[in-house]
Amino acid sequence: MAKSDAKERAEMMAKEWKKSRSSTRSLNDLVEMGLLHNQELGGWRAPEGESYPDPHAGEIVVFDDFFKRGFGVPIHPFLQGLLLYYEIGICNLHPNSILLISTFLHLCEAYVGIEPHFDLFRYLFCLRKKGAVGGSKIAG
Amino acid sequence: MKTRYLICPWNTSLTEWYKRWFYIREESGSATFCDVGYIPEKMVSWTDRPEYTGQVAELMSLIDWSRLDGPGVIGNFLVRRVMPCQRRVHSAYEYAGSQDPTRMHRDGLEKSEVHRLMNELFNLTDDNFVRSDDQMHAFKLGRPTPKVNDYLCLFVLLCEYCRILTDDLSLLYCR
Repeated sequence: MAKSDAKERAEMMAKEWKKSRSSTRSLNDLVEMGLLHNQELGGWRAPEGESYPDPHAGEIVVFDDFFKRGFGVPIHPFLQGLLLYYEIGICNLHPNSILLISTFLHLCEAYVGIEPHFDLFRYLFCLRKKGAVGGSKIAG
Repeated sequence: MKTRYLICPWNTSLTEWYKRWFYIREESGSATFCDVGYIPEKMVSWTDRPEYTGQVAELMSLIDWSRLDGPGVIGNFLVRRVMPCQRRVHSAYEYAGSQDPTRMHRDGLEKSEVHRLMNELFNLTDDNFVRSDDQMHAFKLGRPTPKVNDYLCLFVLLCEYCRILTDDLSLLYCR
């Protein structure tokens, strides 16, 4: 990557991301609440002072608030399918979008008695860019 | 088709959630798209609606929308301690109770904890919601979904009963 490209990317990342306040302690609180598996089983790690995320191979970046809204890893194939269809990444979603998808999945499975229905989802919802909160990378 | 959906009074004053990010490992072979430098641009697929809505209309009619709302559905998966967006060994309609393998935790949640979580997720200041005693019940192993075959069996049994009845009547008549 050329030096100017690297600088441009660093500037963009600094604009889009804020230094994380998540810590091993705060993530263990999620474990205590039964929302996240322990570090060994769940394979998570807290950032170590990075200004923006730089995941290792095989890692994804997620937000604490996702886990209070029905998110978990491994990710449900329906959610993976939605990401592919809308061409967005998991870290482009707002926590309330995760809650909306969780609600839809549970509605289909537990109240209609079917597997999540893609056309029903598309009929009910559309995707749009969110406001400034969380950066211009957020859609929901 | 008129659009109806669950009333969901989202907590829209969620603050600083974007300052709480971390890394999590995916199992090998899984490739969830996650480019931290990607800025999505609006695409046709974002607002496109399905072309054929016949089945959608049928599904919408299966839900008694007057007896269900967002907090009811979410309260149900919180109490079950399952994560709907997580891949699970079986679907929610096969949920087997406290020993179910899809639960994140064996212990049940205290009522106060459920309320605390719900208050975090919703703005529940207005009480324009479905009364809890009138809520639709979720399916589970002990309350299975009606199957097409069930209706078929019922029909066959009914036919059989009618045949026996007719036979009996004819016997009676013959005598």
